[in-house]
Amino acid sequence: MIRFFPNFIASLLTLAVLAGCGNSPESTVKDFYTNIEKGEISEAKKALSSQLSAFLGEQKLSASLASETERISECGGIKSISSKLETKGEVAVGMTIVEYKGKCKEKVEKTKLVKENGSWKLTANK
Amino acid sequence: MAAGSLRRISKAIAVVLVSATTYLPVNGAFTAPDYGARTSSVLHVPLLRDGDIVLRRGLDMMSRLVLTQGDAAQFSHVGLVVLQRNIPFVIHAIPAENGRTGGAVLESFAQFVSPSEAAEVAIYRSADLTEIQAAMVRQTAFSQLGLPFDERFQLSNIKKVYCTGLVLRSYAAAGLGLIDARAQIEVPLLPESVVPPDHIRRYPALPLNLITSFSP
Repeated sequence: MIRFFPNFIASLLTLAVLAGCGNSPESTVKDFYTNIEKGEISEAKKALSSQLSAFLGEQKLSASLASETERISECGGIKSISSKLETKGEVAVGMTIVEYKGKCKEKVEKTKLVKENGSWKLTANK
Repeated sequence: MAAGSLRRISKAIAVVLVSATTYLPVNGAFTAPDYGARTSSVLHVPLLRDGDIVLRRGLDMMSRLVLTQGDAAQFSHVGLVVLQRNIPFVIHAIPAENGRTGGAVLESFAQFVSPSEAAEVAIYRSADLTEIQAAMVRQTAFSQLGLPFDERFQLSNIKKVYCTGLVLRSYAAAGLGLIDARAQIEVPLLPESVVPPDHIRRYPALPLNLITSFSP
């Protein structure tokens, strides 16, 4: 019993750490939109692939995301974010639907994510 | 220690010389000095002309990260060269930041390629651009000065402009399509396909010659 208890605690800790590290493509998408809504631009940018950031540059990307925060605010905030993604290896592709609390029409977007250093990141579609 | 100091001094001298030479009359080729400690080759900056396309990679972290990735974008910003009294300037579109006015602005070439703004620079020229077309490109670039920066990167929105859009519109006004269909990408949140600056050189629809590239 005395030997079992520390092992049990260690297993729990390991599980907790693993759960924290392993994000899913869907959770990355949700975090991205949620951070944009909150105006957490730096956090939102962490959900973007380095390729996408390099395409547009940090400064322009920040300006773009900040303008989207205003747009979401004008739409009364986000009501729901739902993604339907198909994952093949280190790429996930599908659609995301964002519904707003206000009168703005729902946004349907093609969504693509790639795995970078073990984390899912939103990237550009060609 | 001594070598490090020498490198710093030589880099500082190079920066001053680069800035100075960019103001030289451009109706004659000139030899630019060593562009810094990272290259020892003497670069020959040829005549700059109206309509030359200047690409630069910024200093931010993501831009540096690109160096390590083979297929990633090499440049994240673009502008157009325009000459005023034979002195090169760049018209480009940037978002407002740190008190700097955003939108389409006219900036000296020296400032555009200065070490405080750029880690890498490349200048391209359309081989097909006639003098008349260059004048039209120039005129259209000037006509966009003062337009606000378009945070949504929409080519269809003529009341605003983003960096690649400014270049594409200016060339389109001269009857030249700069890029092919592969240049467009879809970016999360943005309502239209976007043309990243780097795709101007990657997917050109007409022959573009690399005039020079350097690290300021």
